[in-house]
Amino acid sequence: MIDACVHHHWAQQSELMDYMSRGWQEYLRQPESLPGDLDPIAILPWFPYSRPDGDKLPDSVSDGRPAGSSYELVQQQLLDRGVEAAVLNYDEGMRTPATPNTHLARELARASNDWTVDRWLSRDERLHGLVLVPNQVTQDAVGEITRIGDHPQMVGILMSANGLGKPFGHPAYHPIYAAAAERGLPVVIHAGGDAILETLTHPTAGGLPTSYAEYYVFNSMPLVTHFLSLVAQGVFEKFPDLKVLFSGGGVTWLTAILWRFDAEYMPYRRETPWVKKTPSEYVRDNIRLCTYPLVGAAAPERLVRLLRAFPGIEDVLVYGSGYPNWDTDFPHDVAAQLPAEWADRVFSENARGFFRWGGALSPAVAGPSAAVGEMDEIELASAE
Amino acid sequence: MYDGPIIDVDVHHRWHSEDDLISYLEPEWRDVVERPRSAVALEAPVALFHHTTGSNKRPDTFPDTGGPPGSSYEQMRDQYLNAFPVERVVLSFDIGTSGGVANPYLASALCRAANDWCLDRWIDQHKDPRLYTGLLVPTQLPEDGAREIRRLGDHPRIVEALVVSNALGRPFGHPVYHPIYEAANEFELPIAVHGGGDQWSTNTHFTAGGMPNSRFEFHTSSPMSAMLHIASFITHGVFEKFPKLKLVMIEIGTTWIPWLLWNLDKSVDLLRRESPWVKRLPSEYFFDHIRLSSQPLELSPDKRQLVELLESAGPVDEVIVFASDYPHWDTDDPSYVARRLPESWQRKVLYENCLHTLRWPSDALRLDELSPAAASVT
Repeated sequence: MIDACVHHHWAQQSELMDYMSRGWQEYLRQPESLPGDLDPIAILPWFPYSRPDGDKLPDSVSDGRPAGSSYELVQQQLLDRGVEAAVLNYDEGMRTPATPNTHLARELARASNDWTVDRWLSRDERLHGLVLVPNQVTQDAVGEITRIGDHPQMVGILMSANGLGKPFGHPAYHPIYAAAAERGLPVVIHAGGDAILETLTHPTAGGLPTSYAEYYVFNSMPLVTHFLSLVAQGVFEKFPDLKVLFSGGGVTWLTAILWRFDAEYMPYRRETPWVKKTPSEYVRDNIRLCTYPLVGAAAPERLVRLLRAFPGIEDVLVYGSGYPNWDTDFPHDVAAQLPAEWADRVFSENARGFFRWGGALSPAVAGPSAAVGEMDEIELASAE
Repeated sequence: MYDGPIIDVDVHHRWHSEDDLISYLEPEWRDVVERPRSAVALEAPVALFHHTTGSNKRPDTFPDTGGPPGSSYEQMRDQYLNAFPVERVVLSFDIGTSGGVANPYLASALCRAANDWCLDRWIDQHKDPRLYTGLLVPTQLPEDGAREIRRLGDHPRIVEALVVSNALGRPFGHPVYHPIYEAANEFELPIAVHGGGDQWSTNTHFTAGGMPNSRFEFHTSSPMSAMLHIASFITHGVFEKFPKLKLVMIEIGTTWIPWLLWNLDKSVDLLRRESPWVKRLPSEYFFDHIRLSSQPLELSPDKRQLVELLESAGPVDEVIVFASDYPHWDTDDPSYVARRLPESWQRKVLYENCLHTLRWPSDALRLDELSPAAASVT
């Protein structure tokens, strides 16, 4: 069994800061780096919504350490229950690309990736990482992928916070996808990154929610925008081998928008002539959906009925637990909601085919099939 | 095939030229917009993304007599009302409807003028018994919205309070908008929210996660903000405050219903902590109070897939009300919608659900009471 979505975190900020340069340690007032006893500067941007009853599984917090910060606890509560491979997605660290100081963001991403390798990946070969990229400066993101993307336990890159405040198909982000595709690394887009105050994006369309419940109900909404954007802006024509996993938003949003998207493809193809297939076809070829959080109806058969409306959905779903969030889906929770004949694919095969396992490889990268951004000339019917 | 009566909840009518609208403005405002004429915009621009054919209207709906689509009653009558067994249509103005105009007092005045223009130039002038209308509600100053409802809310041909522009950039359940709902409730008028009102200079983000880069993306994502508005009506307890109030959501499609309802129901415990006035399952409020227009009916590869998906959410055949969206480019004609739906849904969707939702006058004519020449009354 492969778990595509586990959130790991540092016990305290200083644990991460140990991996930063001396200069940044002083800037952030790492204890003992400066005379006096000023408190360290908080490194991460503010996330405005929190759940009244706590955001984490109660038993994932021990000895006052934050959830997801203890390898032993992750091992005991998750890995040793039959997990063959787990992909670490960061927790609050996902906010890094929203850090307003772009130079600090670059240093934080570098330190976070080194901390992940040193404190987690080196301890257990079942653990795998995603390269956290500071996506607000594209060349910094590319630099980080180049620096650490070949590590044998790095299996993808993580687009979490929305550093430029643009949908993720925007051409400004394309060099990041080029660097990932070159190494065979897939992209994980995790929900939540558009709610951070510093990103200048909104987590919902139509105004800001006023309660955590409204935020939570719609935390998949930005994934819709990113999905539409990746397809319409030709990312999968430019990088035909690139694969994207949408994580943290569940599974019910895709069919909510897909047929409308397919139907709009023909009327609007003059505007984006580089889009060569219907969006449904790109879903089959390039896109995967993480099951977490698997929000279905009270009766599981209704969820399956919805999912079957997209034939072949069992090849698109990838299991993720979301551990240690409060709505963690353990394997038995997910298995109980899906048909037994889907289990091999959802719990293992789809993830096996999606991530880049085993370190650097030189895949035969297919060249672009469309000149994305260029407007084709159209042949006008001659007026005879 | 369904050949019963049809009620259409969304037909767009429009003034022939802005001068028509200006002639209904109160004199002091007429003064402002006329001197000099070009200095004051009456509608916020809608062409944020260009339509690839140059217009968002069906090419065949441009009137032979000139003017924009929807501005000619005769064209609408010949092309649509007489072409199908239409019993009632609800006129819903054209897009852009004035709430986003920067001057909030002018925005309110424009809505008042639009309502007077509609009653005078469409309802009274043509006396077509099939024509009903929404009351365009100014939203930027909600007290003005309430006043407008109290000014005209008794009119027998007004069947809903039409809320379009999200002029305050808050989800429509937000308490700031409640004076509008209070007034509509007094007159037993349902609220109709027409999609698209989060654009048009309101400074509301109409997508989550950033501004899209093409009309292809923008037009596909238009249900998103409407979903938040529905959730907001529920979480802010609008239906507890006004237990008889109904809400019709227009031009946003339907396939997102399971996504919305399951997520809301899962969060019911949270809602009870943060919004203790929410007393019931969100999906119960939805099925009791909310109706959705069919257009644009999502085009699944096989028509059974659409029904399968919708049925997974519950009794949605009670929820969907037919809309053509005439004369927009993606108009759904009634026979097409009927063909896509199971036979047992057709009468409900094309007729009954809307019949039981809007505030129809007691002397509304039924299809068999309409004279065949109803159309040529003028």
